[in-house]
This record gives sequence, structure tokens and C-alpha cells, in this order.
Amino acid sequence: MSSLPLDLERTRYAEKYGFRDPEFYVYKAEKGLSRKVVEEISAMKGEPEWMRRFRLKALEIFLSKPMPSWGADLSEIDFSSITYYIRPTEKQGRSWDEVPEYIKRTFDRLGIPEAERKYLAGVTAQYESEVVYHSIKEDLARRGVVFLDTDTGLKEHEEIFRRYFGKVVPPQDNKFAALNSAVWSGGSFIYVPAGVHVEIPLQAYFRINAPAMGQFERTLIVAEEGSFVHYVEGCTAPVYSADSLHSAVVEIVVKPGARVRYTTIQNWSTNVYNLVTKRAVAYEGATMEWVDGNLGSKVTMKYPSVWLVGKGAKGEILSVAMAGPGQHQDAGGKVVLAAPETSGTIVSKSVSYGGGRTSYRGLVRVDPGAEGAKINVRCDALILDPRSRSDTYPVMQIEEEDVSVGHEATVSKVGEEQLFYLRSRGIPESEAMAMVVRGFIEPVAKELPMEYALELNRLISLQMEGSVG
Amino acid sequence: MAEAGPILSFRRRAEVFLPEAGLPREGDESWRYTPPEPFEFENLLSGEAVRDSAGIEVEADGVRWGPMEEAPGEVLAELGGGLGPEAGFAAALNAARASLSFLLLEKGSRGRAVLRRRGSPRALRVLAVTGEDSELQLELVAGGTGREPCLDGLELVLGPGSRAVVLSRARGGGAPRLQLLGCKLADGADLLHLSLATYRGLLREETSVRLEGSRGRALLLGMAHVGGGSHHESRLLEEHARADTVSEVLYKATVAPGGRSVFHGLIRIEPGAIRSDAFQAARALLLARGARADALPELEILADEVRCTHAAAVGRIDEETLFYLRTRGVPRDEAVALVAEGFFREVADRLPPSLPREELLGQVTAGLRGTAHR
Repeated sequence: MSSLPLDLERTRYAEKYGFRDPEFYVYKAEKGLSRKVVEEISAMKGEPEWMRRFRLKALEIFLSKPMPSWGADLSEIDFSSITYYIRPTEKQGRSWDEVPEYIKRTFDRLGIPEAERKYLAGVTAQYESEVVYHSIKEDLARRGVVFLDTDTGLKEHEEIFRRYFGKVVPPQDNKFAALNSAVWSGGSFIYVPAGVHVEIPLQAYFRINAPAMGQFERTLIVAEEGSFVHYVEGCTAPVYSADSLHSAVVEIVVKPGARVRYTTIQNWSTNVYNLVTKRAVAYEGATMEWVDGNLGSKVTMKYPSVWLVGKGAKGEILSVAMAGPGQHQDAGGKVVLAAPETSGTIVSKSVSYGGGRTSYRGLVRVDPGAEGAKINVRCDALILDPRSRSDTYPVMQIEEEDVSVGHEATVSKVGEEQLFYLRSRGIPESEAMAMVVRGFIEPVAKELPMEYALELNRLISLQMEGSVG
Repeated sequence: MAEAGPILSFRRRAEVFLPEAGLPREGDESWRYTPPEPFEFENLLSGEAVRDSAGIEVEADGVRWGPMEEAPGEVLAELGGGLGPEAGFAAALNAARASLSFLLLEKGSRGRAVLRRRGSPRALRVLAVTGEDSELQLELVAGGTGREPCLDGLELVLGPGSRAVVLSRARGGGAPRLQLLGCKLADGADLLHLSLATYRGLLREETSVRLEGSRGRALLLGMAHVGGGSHHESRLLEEHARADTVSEVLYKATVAPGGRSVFHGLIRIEPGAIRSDAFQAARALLLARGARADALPELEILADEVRCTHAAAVGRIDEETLFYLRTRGVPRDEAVALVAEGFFREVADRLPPSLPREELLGQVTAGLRGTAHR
């Protein structure tokens, strides 16, 4: 834990994350969404014809679908004021030296090169809409692991894309999946051959750096039989005044016996709408784990999903959300148990403070024939002050009798005795509060890679300052 | 006799809200699990208000009872207070069209009433008002209704320190039934409600309790057996508007193949309703393949110093228990009924001695005996 006074630490935080660089772009699509914009994006990327048609069809679906009437308030999103594609440099940086200086500066402050030098295998650092820096350790490449930005992935592995792209999350799924399908750009593509275990987490950093600019990453992960991969996605964003929209789609295919863990720490600036569709399909004996942390953004709507379609498949969703002033975190998870002996767990921890609102929204569905299926859901919420709000909206649809389905939720405030105990030992109230909150989310935090857990703890301390009293 | 005064303005309130609420359509969020069409709302909407208070047979002891036109001012003042027309389309339609009657328990007194619904009228509403420190026991029995769907409402306005034990029984079978229960609890009022449903057919219950006074307590219990081809949806709202209030929901259902049970519960804690305690538990036991249960236990918490928990579980009868019973010569159906009885006993144990516990348990498990489940 840091021993710096909190206000000093906060200044450092602002230095670290609150900076902005002047806009400097090679290509910026005109604002607004049209057939022309979509065709331009596709042409600019030199995509195959089927992808162009896929995008155009998705655009039609996007236009035909109404805005979701449930969940968070999305009425302030103006689709016509968003830039749907920006490309910062003409070529993809092959080595660190080739990366433009101003982008390097950004990453320096984010600490990426350091993390990489230390022990990370590959970094796809997304600056604006395209991956500008990309590296994979040679031994991974030797073992046949593919870790590319999605655009390059499409160029080099078209056959894999034809087979899986848009299959786990079809454009018809929801309005924002359709939007992403029409204008997607960047994201990560990972292919792990059968039996290969990738020991080190693969990471990607994302940033938004232009007002009213959308980011529409598309991530596709295919883990072949018996393989393992852990993908880590972290976001920090500079603060801007205009609203930004982030609408990603993540598709994951977990083949029999394979295991995929996908970790996200989302810390968008509080003007961002973060509307993400994440889904995985797990086959026989496969395991899918989502670890999802939502700290920033104005509005987040994100429900990582697992479809357990093979016998004995397992799904686990760990979710932590913190909502402060003006924020609404509408997060949760979905597990569909569609095969015998499948099992799943959802653990959700949310904290609201300073007038923030957290909502857990989840689905558990057991299809007929999923004999012996087991699923447990646990959501706990902590409300730190009288202005804040917490909701729980779970749905359970059970169509198989041989099941065990449980759901439990609790909502409470921080215990006065806990605070009193800590304060009687000389710990200031804000720090005491931060300690309680950290203890509360510990079951999720302990699943994070170390540097993320550290950053999460620091963020909690920062946010508790000023929320007490 | 034309309606006048508070009754007329109550009807008008409902008429104003009806177009705003709009006819429920399939796919509407609150009608996602039960199709609205079988309730034929449009027929009731296009017709006149029902003026047939003979639709209810009353056995009353210590309470005043009559058509709304004869209600005293203190009762009329509460019309729509427990079940406001603005609560939703069904509440508005009931308010606009139902035959209205009242029930009053004077301050400090004790009374009992049994209301039996008869087949004919499409929509009934009873407003029950209890005076300060009174004690009411109320039983509503809806047997097999006629061929037409019906939409009934009970409004309960509990005065300070009053206690009410209310039993709603939906038995028999027939046309779709929608029953609304809206309760308002003043300071220190105490409500125990048991919904006992073995109705064969389509049944939707919408129950809401609003704790308006501090130290109010509400316990909402449910026992249901959903037979093959039947569909029950229970929607519950626990609304805490004041500090130091307690509410608890405990609903249990057994579901036979071809039956479907839907539980939707919402605990809502309003700003300032600190030191609220709210609990909600829903359990469904699926008796065999082809049974279906959906549960949506929701929370909306807008105050910080609260304790709210909910739990929902769906499961099956433990095969080992059945096997044990069968090795002792108990036929399978009887064994299933015994296990179900144990399952429901947790609810029955919460009932006050004034209710016939064993008889109520008997009603809910009767459907399990004599039918093959596998």
C-alpha cells in the first residue's frame, strides 16, 4: 500500500491518466454512420468481399434495431456525432523504434513498455482505432500461437475468420453488436493450437484519445483442444468533455478440454459509454473464465456470457464494479447450460458511492436435457452513502428438472463497527473505508494478475478519498 | 344509481391512466413470461363497469361490509390508496371496471371475514380498511371461475398498530385469473399474507406491499402447486418507504411436467428508508422433466443503511430420498407428496395458529397424489 498522502497520490494519478495529447491523425472518417463510411472503412483496410458484405448487412441490422429500452440511460448517445474510424499511422509498428514518438510517450506514462520488459509476452497496444505496436515472444510463435491485431489476423488467417468470426456473437444479437460488426476496427486475434499452454498472460492496452471518437474493437480468440490461454485487457483513458462511445465485441471459442481466461480492467474516463458484448462458447470438458472489473466510464453495459454446449463444460464469471458520481455500472453475467453435467458460477461484487449506481443484471438458463447441471450465482453490493443506489436484476430460466440452481444476493452498507474498529487504531476514515472496500472485493481481486490487483487497490484508495463524510 | 363523489373521481383517475399504460402486449417487459392475450383485457376495457356486488359471498364477523356506495367517508378516502390505479395497466383496468365493495374494521376491534368469489363478474375490487390497533383475519377464496377471464383486486389499508392475517386461495380451475393485492401499512402495522394456489389454468398474481409507516412489518408467504398445462406467475413488490421497516417473502412451488411457474420479486428501498430489513426467498421444485420454472428476484436499493438479501433456487426431488421411502413400501406418488409436504412445511410453520395449517398443506399437496409424474 502506498504511504503517500492521498491528495498527492491523486495528482500523480491525474498525471498518469488524465493527460491528453494533441490530435494528430493520418486518416479520420467523416462523422456519422452511413453505407459510405462502412464501405470506406472496409476499402481502407483492403478487406475481402465477404467481410465488406458482412459489415453492410450488420449496418442494416443496426439501423433496424431499436435502442434497448431496459438497462442504463442511453438517450444521450448521438450516433451522428461519432467518428467511426481513425487510423493514426499508415503502417503497423514492427518494433518499438518504429512507433511514433508521441504514442510512445503515452504508453510510457501508462507503463506499458516497463510491463512488457518485465515479463509480458506480447502487447497489442491499441492507440485510437488501430493497433500500432505489436510483439510476440518468439517461443510463442514457434509453438504456433497467433497473437495479432484483428485486422492483420483477418489478412493472414482468413480461413479461421470465415469459420468463427461473427458466429459466437452474430450482428443480430443486439444493436451494439450490430454497430460493432459494421464498423469494427482493431482488437486482438488469438489462436492457440491444440495442446499448447500459454503460461504468460497476453495483454492489450486500449485508449481513447479524441473527443467524440468511437472505439469498436473486435476480439476473436480460438483455443483449440486441450489448450490454455489467459488474455488480459486493461483500459485507461484521458478525461474529455464530449461523450465517447466504446462498443466492443469479444468472441471466444473454447474447444473440448481447453481453458480460456479473459481478464478485463475497464477504467474509461467518466464521459465514455461502454457498451460491450462478450460471449464465449465452451465445448465438452472446456472451461471459460471471465474476470471483469468495471471502474470507469459514464455508463457501462456489459454482461460477459458463457454458453456451455458440451458435456461437462464449465463457466465462471467474476465481476467487480464500482460506480461513483454520475456513473452507472450495469454489469453482470450470463451462463447458458445447454449440455449435461455442465456447471457454472457467477460472483458479482459491486460498490456504489457519491451518488453512483451499480446494477447487477444476469441470466441463468438451463435448457432441456442439461441433466445434472449446476449453477450458483452470488451478488453482493456495498452502498457507501445515502445518495447511491444498487440494483439486482437476475433472470433464471430453468427447463430441466435434474438441476441445482441457486442465486443469492445481499446489499449492505459498511459496518459502523468495522469502521470504528479501524479508526480506533488510528486509521483515517477514508483509508478505513478503502480497507473495507478492498476486503469486500478481495475474492475477485485475488484472481487478477498482480499489477492489476495493485492498481485496483490504489484506485479504490483514491476514490474513497472525498467519498467519506 | 349513478356513481358520484370519491367513487367517480377514482374511476376517472383510472380512465386517465389507462391510455397512458396501454394495453399489455406480448413481449412487454412485465408480460414477458405470461402472455396477456388470454386475459382478454380489451373486452373488459370496451365494456361498462361491473355493478354486481352479488359476485362475492361474504361471511363476516365483527366487520362492516357492503357495496362501495354505502361506505363511510373514512373508507372512501382510502380508495386507491393501497392499490392505486397508476400501479399498472391491470390495476387501472380493475379500478375503472370492477364492481366495488368495502370492508371496515373499527379501531381497537377484532374481526373475521371470508369472501368467496362467484363465477360471473369479470372484475371485483374489495377495499379493506383497518382502524388503529385492530386485528383482522381475512380469507379470500376463488374457486373455479366461469368461462370468462377475471381480474380481481384486493386493497388493504392497515391503520397504525393494526394486524392482519390474509389468506388468498386460488383453487379449482378454469378461465385465466389475474389477482391483484395492494397493501399499505401505517406505523407499526403488521401483515401476514399467504397465497395458496393450486389453480388449474392460467393464474397471475400481482402483490405489492408498501411500508409507509415506520416499524411496519410484512410477511408474504406463498405455496403453489402448478399442475401439468397450468401456468402461474407471481409478481411481488416489497416497497420500503420509511425507516425501520421489515418485509419478508417466502414463496415455494412444486411444478409438474407441462407446468410452468414464474416468480418475479422486487425489493425496492426508497431514499431515506434506512434500517430497512428486506428478505426474499423463492424456491421451485421441479417434479419431472418437462416442468419449467423461471425466477427473477430483483433489488433496487436507494438508501445505504439497509439489509437486503434474496435467494432463489430451482431444483429437483432428491432421488435418494424417494428411493429410501420406496424401499419402505411407500408408492412413488405418495413419496413425492411426502417430500413436497416437507418442502412446504417451512412455509406452513410460519403461519399463525389461527390458520388451519394442515388443511392448507393438504390443499397444496393434493394435486401430487394420484397423478403419475414419470
